[in-house]
Amino acid sequence: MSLASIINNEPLDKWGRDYTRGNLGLNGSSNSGSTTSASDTYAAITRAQWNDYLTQIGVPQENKLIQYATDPTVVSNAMTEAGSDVNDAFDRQAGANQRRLSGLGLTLTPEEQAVSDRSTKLARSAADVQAQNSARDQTIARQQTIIGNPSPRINALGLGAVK
Amino acid sequence: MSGKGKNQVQETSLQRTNADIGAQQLADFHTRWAPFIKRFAANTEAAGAPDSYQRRHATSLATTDTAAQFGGADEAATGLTAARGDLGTSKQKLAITGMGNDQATSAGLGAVGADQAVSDSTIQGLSAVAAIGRGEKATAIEGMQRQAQMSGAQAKADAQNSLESQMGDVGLAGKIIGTGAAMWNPTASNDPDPRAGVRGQRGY
Repeated sequence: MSLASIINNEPLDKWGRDYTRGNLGLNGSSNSGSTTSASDTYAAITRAQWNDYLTQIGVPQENKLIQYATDPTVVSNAMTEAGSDVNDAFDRQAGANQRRLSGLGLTLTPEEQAVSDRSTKLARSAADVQAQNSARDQTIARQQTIIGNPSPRINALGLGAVK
Repeated sequence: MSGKGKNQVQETSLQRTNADIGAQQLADFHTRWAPFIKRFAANTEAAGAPDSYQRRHATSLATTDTAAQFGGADEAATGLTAARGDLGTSKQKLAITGMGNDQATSAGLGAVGADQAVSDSTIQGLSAVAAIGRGEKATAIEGMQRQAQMSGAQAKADAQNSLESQMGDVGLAGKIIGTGAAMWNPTASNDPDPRAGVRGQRGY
């Protein structure tokens, strides 16, 4: 069975495109049997690809990445967000602690409350600093990776400094 | 001018077929892949936005996981406290608040980790789309190079046309001059060619 007969028996591919007539050219045009030269078609393909790169797939995303990698507020925003995550968690936990104690029929005395508050403040501060440091390090590492300079993950080595 | 002379570069059947298939591939890319990639890029970008659904979902999952883990530990701690007879003591109460602090720390750092994971995913997604774009750019540049090569071939052919045209004129001019010289000195052409030698002179 010749290739031509196979093609003629299956004129449409699974997407319903007729590939036997060469009518899948750019913008619906075809160069099969037309006067469009291969050179013109190549030129049209090149222009279309370049336009795709400039306007749709390529440059827009690269600009986003460049902005992320170079905008100094990205790091500070990430640190703020991390601090917010931790403080939200501690705020929620205060209510949960109260419900837990109440569920057991327990109430903190003023002295116990003071000890608990001090402990909570310490834990909150430590967690806040750790979260912000972690977010800062990870964000900077991500920025460096974008610009082609992957930095060592200091946290993974246990060397993250608390600032 | 290109493509006018007898040395015009004729496109081969292979070139025409390649161009046709290239056009079909690009049309196929535009039809099937480009919409998907653009949608993926848009979703990725949206996920990376502050307070996006993906961020809230990820941090919420992290918090829920932490709560589940600490819920079990809390029950175990209460059991141990009861076994020791410490129920209702300051030690138990402060243990409860202490575990609460640990849970808050875990939940907070878990949320930060989830948040960072979303950022990682966003950047990876954008990088993947940008890489596809770079591939398309590379293909476009390759296309330009191919264009340049074809243009170069055409330029070479044009140059050849020009050269032959000029040489043809020169040759014609030479013939005219030669003819003129022959007319001016009609015997000159009957002189034996000194390069022919004896054998040439003798005709063999």
